[in-house]
Amino acid sequence: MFGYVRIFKPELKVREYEEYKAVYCTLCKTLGKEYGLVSRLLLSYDATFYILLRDCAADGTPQYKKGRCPFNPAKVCNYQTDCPESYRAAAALTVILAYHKARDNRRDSKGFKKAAAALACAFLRASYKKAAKRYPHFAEIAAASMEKQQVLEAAQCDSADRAADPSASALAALCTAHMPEGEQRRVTERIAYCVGRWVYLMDAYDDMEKDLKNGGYNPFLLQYGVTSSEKLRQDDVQQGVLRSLYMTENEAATTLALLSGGVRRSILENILCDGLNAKTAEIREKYQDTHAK
Amino acid sequence: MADPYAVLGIPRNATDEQLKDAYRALARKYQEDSLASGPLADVARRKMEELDRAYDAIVAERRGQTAYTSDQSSYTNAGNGGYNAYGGSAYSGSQFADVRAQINSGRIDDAEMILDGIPIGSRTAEWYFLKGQIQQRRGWFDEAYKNYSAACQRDPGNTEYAAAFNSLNNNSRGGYRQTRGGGCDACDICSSLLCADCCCECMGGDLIPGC
Repeated sequence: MFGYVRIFKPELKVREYEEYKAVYCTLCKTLGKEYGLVSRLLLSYDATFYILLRDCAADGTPQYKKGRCPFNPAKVCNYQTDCPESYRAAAALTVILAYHKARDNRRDSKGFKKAAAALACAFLRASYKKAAKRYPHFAEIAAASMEKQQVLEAAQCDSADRAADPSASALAALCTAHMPEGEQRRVTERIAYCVGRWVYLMDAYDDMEKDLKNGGYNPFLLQYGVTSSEKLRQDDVQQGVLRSLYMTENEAATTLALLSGGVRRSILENILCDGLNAKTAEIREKYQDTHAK
Repeated sequence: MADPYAVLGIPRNATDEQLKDAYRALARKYQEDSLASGPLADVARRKMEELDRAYDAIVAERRGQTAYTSDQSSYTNAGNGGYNAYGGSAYSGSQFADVRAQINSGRIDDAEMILDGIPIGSRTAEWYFLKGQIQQRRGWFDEAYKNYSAACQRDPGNTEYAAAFNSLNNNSRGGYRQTRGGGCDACDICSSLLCADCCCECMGGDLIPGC
């Protein structure tokens, strides 16, 4: 996961924003408590999304306590005092995914970047082992998904749908791991699948230019047979890619209607209905701008 | 039964107008085409029934009848007609009745195995449509899109295929929430100023000297 799943602040109510910040800060604190101060740097919006989706239907109002942020002592934050389990799970998830990403980078990149990734990997190993011991199920899901992804990449899979499936299924499995069978689980699974798929496709879209230059694996380049920078900016390619992204984000937004919940649900609505779209527009503009030059 | 006001997401003192608006907004969401053809069609249908019941209960209560007891829903939504299009047993003439039954009961892997067993030469429009349905349920929207459009090309007159294609196609545009109040950019400000200036000049005054 790559930090694409964000709120769209202009459309957020103040109390929703405060709640979002509190979730974010509490996750940061939990990371620090469980995996050491440095692991707080791994904090991501994606793990925050995981907590929101997971606790969406939880009963009762969350309880908060004021505290100071260790990175910025002048700032007073709200920390949630109940419901620590989902934060612990999210912290473990953050560490596990960061470790896999570092390993992935170590395998794929060259030179200085490879060294940096190897260092990160070595650094994360102890935390990873701790997280994997606490949440063996998470580690299994993540490892299985990485393996499937590598097979697809090695086979130069030319279908974006298939290439996105391991990440999407992994997120769906991670988000529903603790849930009992039933409607709520099925709805959450569908939303998580769509978000996972969107993140993967978004990352591929964002990297098209870079992968074209370096010869890295990119499902969109293969699916549309893109071999040159001009072809990359042609309307049919851009529209095809955007269509995949829009279909995915709209499906996530439509499905959210079936999920019940309180304040957290409104934040999710903001993320799925506006946040994803804003991010897509941002990357789309990136391609249009360079085109104009 | 759950509190009908909570189902509709409105306070107890909401006006009849607010009640209707809330009902319509939710009904529109639950009856979204892409939900009806996705794997959660049954959940959407149940939500819709729950909403109908809640609406009925509130209306009955406000009319002074006994509250919350009307279990038989008398209110039938006009938009409900096409809602069960996929769920009915209307495909007696179908070549793939068994595949359709499997897709509807959620056994998409089995359904796909049967479809894949059919040689490429004898794949009909219906084959592409069903393949698309399987992929849409799985969340593979790109391939679903391709297969739906192949089905429509082979059989342009078929309304079932066209509806599936259109529902996916409607989803392929950006911005789930389209109704957003327009902002005010530099151009708007300048043109408004110019208009105001013209108006002032009509009356003999001047807002922007020299213009």
